[in-house]
Amino acid sequence: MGTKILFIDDSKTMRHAGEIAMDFNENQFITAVTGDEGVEKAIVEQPDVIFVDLTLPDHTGYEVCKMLKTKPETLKIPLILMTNPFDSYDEKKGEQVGVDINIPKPFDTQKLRDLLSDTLPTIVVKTPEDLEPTSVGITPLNTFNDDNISKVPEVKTVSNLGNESENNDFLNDFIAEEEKYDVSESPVIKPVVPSYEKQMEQPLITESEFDVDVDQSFSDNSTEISLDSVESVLAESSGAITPDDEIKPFNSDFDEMSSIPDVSDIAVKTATSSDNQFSEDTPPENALKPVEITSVDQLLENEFDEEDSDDSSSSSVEEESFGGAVDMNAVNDLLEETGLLNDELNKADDVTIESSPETVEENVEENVEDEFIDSIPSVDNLMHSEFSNIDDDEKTVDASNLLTDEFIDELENSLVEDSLVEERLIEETPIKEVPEPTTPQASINPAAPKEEPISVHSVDELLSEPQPEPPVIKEPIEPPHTVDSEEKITVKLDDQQMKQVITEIVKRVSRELIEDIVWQVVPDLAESIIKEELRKILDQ
Amino acid sequence: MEYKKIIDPKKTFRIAKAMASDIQMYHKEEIEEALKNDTFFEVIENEYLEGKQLLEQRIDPDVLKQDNYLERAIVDIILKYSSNVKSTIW
Repeated sequence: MGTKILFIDDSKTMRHAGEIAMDFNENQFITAVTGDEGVEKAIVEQPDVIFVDLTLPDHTGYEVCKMLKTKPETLKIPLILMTNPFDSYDEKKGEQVGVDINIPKPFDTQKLRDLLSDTLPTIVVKTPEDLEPTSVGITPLNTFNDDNISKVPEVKTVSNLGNESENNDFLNDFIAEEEKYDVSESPVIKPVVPSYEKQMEQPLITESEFDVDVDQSFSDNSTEISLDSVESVLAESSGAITPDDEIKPFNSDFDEMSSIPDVSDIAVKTATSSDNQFSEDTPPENALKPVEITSVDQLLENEFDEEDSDDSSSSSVEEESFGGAVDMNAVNDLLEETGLLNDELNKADDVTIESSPETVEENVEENVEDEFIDSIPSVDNLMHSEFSNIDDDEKTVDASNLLTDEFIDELENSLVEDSLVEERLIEETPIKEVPEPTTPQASINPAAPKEEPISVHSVDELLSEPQPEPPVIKEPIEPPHTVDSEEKITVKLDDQQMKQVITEIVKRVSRELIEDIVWQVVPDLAESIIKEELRKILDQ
Repeated sequence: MEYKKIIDPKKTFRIAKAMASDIQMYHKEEIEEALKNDTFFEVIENEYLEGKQLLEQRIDPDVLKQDNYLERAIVDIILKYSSNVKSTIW
C-alpha cells in the first residue's frame, strides 16, 4: 500500500516536482496551494505525511505546522517543512511548532523517496506533549490560543531581570556561581562576565520552578537587596578584595601568597625533580628562591630593585626571569666534572679545525678549477697547435697578431701550400683515368705543366679556398707554353665543362621525365582505384 | 535504424540525466526566466517530449514503464542546480 502525501506549496513548479519525485508505485499525491487549504485537506484526506512550504501566500510554514499540530485530526501526522535556499531553517522555531523533518529546496528525488520509504516509518511524530513546556508558542493541546498567550510563564533570563530586585534566587545562584571561582587562587580578579554568559545561555527558571519559587520570591519581606549587600557577600565569599580596599603590591603580600603555586616554583620543581640534591623544605643557599612575580612589568620592576640593592642577587633574578632555576655555576661544575664541557669545547675546536680543511678544500678546488681552466685550450693555444704544422717559427704567433695583414698573407700561403701538398699526394696515388686521346701526349712531355686531375677537394676547401683559376684563361697569356700543352688543357677543360653541363642536363631531363610520368600515372592509378571502390560499393 | 534496447534502469537514468543536462545547457536563459515566472515545466515541454522520444527509441519499454526517468532527471539536474536563481518558487 502506498503513502498518502499532502504537498502544500504555492508554486506549481515545485508541486509538479514533488509529484515527479513521490508519485510512484501506489503513492497518492495531494496538493494544496495555501496554508488554509492545506489544513482543510489534511483534515479531510488524513494523509500519511504533510509537506509544508516555508513561504505560503497566507501563512508561513511554521504557522501552518502550528495549526496542524493544534488540530486533533492532524496532530499525529508527520510534518516536513521545506525551506528555500535563501532562508535558513530556524531550528528552535521548528521544534516549537512541531516540525518533524526539515528538507531544503530544491530537493533530490531519490532523497525524497528514501525519506518516504525509510525515514518516515521510523519517525516518532512530535505531539504537543512532547514539545518543550516552557517554549513560547506551544501549549498543551486545546489550551493554547491568542487569548491565553499572556498567561504562559515567561522565560527568565538576565536580560529581563531589569529592576526586579526581588529575584533573590537569581542572586543566590549568581553568588554560588561566583563562589566556584576561588579568587584567592589567583592575584588577578577574574571577570564575572563568563558567569553572566552562562546564565544567558539557558533559561534560569523552568516552569516547574516558576510555580514553586516565584511565589515565594515575590513575598514582600525578601525584596530589598542592595548592591552593598551583594558586594559584602562577594567580599566574604572571596575573602579578599572590596572596592574600599587598596590593591597592594604583590611583593608586600608575599607571605600570604606563598601558598600560591608559581611558575618559578614549578620551574624549581622541574629542575630539582631530576636531581634530588635540594628539597623544597630546606632549600640550599645556592638554590633559587621562588619568584613572586606574575607579570612582565613586575619582573622588570623587581629586576631594577634587586639591581639597586644587591648585584649578586640581581644576577640570580635575571636567571630566574628566564625561567632558569638553574645555577649556571653549578651547571658548569657539573659539566666540567663529567667532562662534557671539555668534550664540547673539543668539539668546538674540532669545528674550527674542520673548518680549515674546508678552506683548504676550497683552495684546492680553486686550484683544480684553475688547472682545468688552464688545461682548456685557449684560442691562442688552438691557433698555436693549428699553425704548428705549418711552420715551427710561427708557433710564437699571438692571437693579437692573428689578424694582421702579414698573418693573413701567411694563412693564404699556408692554405695554398696545403692544397699543393694534397695535390701532390693525390698525384702519387694511382688514379684510374678514362683514357683520353690527349693523355699520351701529356705523358710524353714531362716538362709540361702538371696535369690537374679531378681532385676530390673537400667542401670546405672548395668554399674557403679561392678556386684555382682555370688555366684556360691564364694559359693563353703565358708565352712559354707549347701547342701540345695548350691543346691538352683545352680538351681537358672542355671535358670538365661538358661533364658539368651533361650532369645538369641529365638532372633536368630526368626531373621533367619523372614529373611527366607521375602526372600520367598517378591520375590513372587514382582513377582505377576509385573505379574499383565504386564497383565494390555497387556490388554490395 | 534499429538499436539494441537498453534494459538497465541505472543506465537509463544516466542517459536521462545527460539529456536533462543538455536541456539545461542549451536553454539556460529560458530556464532562468521560467523559474522566475513559475512556468518551468511549460517552457521545457518541447525539449522534454523530444528527450522522451529519444529514450523510447533507445530504452526497452518495460524499463521505461518502471519510472519517470526523464522527469526525475529534469528535477534532479535542472531544478537542483538552479537554486541560485532568485525566484518565488523556492
